Amino acid sequence: MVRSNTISAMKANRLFWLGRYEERVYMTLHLLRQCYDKMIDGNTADYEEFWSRLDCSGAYSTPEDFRMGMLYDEHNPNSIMSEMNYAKDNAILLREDITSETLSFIEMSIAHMKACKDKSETNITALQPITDWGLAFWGSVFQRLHNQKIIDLIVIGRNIEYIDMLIRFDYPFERIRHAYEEIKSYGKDMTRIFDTMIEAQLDSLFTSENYDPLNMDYKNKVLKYINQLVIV
Amino acid sequence: MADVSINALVDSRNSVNKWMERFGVRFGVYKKGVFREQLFPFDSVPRIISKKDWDYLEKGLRQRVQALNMFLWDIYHDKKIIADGVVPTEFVYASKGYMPECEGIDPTLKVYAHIAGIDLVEGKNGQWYVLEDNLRIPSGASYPMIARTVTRKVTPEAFADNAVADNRDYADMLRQMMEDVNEDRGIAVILTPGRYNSAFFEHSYLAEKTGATLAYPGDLIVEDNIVYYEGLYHEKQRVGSIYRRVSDEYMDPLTFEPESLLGIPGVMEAYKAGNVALINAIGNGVADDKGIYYFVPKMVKYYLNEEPILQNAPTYLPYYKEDYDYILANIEKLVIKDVAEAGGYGVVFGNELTPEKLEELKALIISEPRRWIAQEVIDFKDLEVLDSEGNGSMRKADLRAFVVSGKETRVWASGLTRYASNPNSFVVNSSQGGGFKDTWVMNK
Repeated sequence: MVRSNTISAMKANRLFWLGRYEERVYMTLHLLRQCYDKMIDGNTADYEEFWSRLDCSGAYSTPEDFRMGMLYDEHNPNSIMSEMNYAKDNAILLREDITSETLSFIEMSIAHMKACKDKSETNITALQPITDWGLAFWGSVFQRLHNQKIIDLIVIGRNIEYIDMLIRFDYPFERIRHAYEEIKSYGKDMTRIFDTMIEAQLDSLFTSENYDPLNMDYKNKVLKYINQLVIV
Repeated sequence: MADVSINALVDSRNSVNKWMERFGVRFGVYKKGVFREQLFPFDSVPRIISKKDWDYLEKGLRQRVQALNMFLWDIYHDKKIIADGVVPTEFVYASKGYMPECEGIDPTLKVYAHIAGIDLVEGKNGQWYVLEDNLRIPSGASYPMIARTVTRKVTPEAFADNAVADNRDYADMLRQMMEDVNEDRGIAVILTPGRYNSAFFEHSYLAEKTGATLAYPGDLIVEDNIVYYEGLYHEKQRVGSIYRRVSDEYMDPLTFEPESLLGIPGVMEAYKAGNVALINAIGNGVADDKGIYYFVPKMVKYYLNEEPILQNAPTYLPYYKEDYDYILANIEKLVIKDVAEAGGYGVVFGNELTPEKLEELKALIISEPRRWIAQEVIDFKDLEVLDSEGNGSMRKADLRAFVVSGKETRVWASGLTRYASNPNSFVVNSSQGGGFKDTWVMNK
């Protein structure tokens, strides 16, 4: 039986968001580790800054609340638990495309998160398996999937999210340029995947001369455009 | 089975369940209107069916499903079985599963029940009985499929030591059948109502393993009586067969339930025109109605001119005067089933009712005799089930056997063995809290 190469609009949307949420889990954990490290010195401003960079503020009144909330609070869309659940919500609908094996890394992560939550585990090293399985997820995507369009959509989602997080946390331009070029490379066979007007705007904003994440107008503009670039 | 194998299987229980969790082996349930996904508990000690028993079951199942397919063709065409007085008219036309819209439609290869799930129990005397035929959307094959894949990895010695028929061919059987009825018209799809269907895991797993495309409501369109799978940029790929996991009444809002958002507008016209195969066919409910069940052995004689190999559980229809009198006189020792219900609902054991409730039930039977059937309670064989500590207890268990029909009718050498959640219950449905076992069909 010939497997269809056609990807429906709904499926394309889920693949894109699967890539985004998987990357968001990885990046949030990565950034949280840095934030928790700073918090050792007892400066509450460290976690408040982290929180505000994700466009949120004021939900947690103590560092302990913040630690628990950022990991397990299912009412906080930026918590690791919520992001994992969003990744799963998409992945579970894509089993036949991404394979049970790829999906299993998300399932294991959710089970592990629940076990850690039940133990009120706030030591972030306990979540190292989430990072490891996240990397295994990507390994499985690249090694086990054979439909290039599916890989393209997941990776484009991943890189959009990656750039979004890099800009929020003022990363240097070189990191962004590489990810942006990769988005274009993965999208080259899908001529209508990008909004060409937005693409032109980003092309002019993403240059070493113009890159200025400390300028809030610039930052807000590129965040808006990067999130509107892909049409799925 | 060798002791070493038993010990390995007992020890593997938690490990196997962990692997099931890893692969997201779940089913959905609605409780008080809230959807929840839960793991389907797996008991690692298998049900074992001897080669002799399986040879008998395989023959009987093939015979039964062939007769049921012939019945469906007859009902939607010549209706000879009614004209010859074998099945009373009202049992056909009063059935909720009868679809007048299917009159005269010619499904590819004349197959209606491409996938039949036949529920059986083994009595304590070793006699097997058919409890129910499921010809609409029988579910459950994916669980033993994945369980076997996992248990072979976790306890290879159990399979090395025993001559167990390999059951990992179900996806191949499905794929072959889909190709048989597709006739190279286009791609094969599995149509799911979506994630909030109780069997969604199965839909997605079967799509993965067969290579079919999993389609959601909205992915399929019909133009000029041809069904297409629509891509991101409205590109269209023709569909040749649809293994649909959407109920008849929701399949086409232009023909059936107009409010349905789950179906494919216009698919019935495409189906009538012979441009797409529907797996299973629409209208099969008329043959797996609990009332029609009574007549299946008669169908075997009528269509195949053979003695039925498989036995029904002793069943009484209040429609017949003799049975009506028997039921009312013996209601406290019978199990009464509402023909309109499924999934373990609408099943009442007379011996569990108070005298007042028995009288109420009798009144219902008197007022609506066509709505009910009554069966003797079969004292079926208990199987040992282990808890998480490895302690055993006995539970009622049934077997859903799967029969796949395309160019030929094949019986899957496996099945879904479901067991009741508590020791006193006869209800084994997963929706009622039960678990499942692997089913070992022995090669010698």
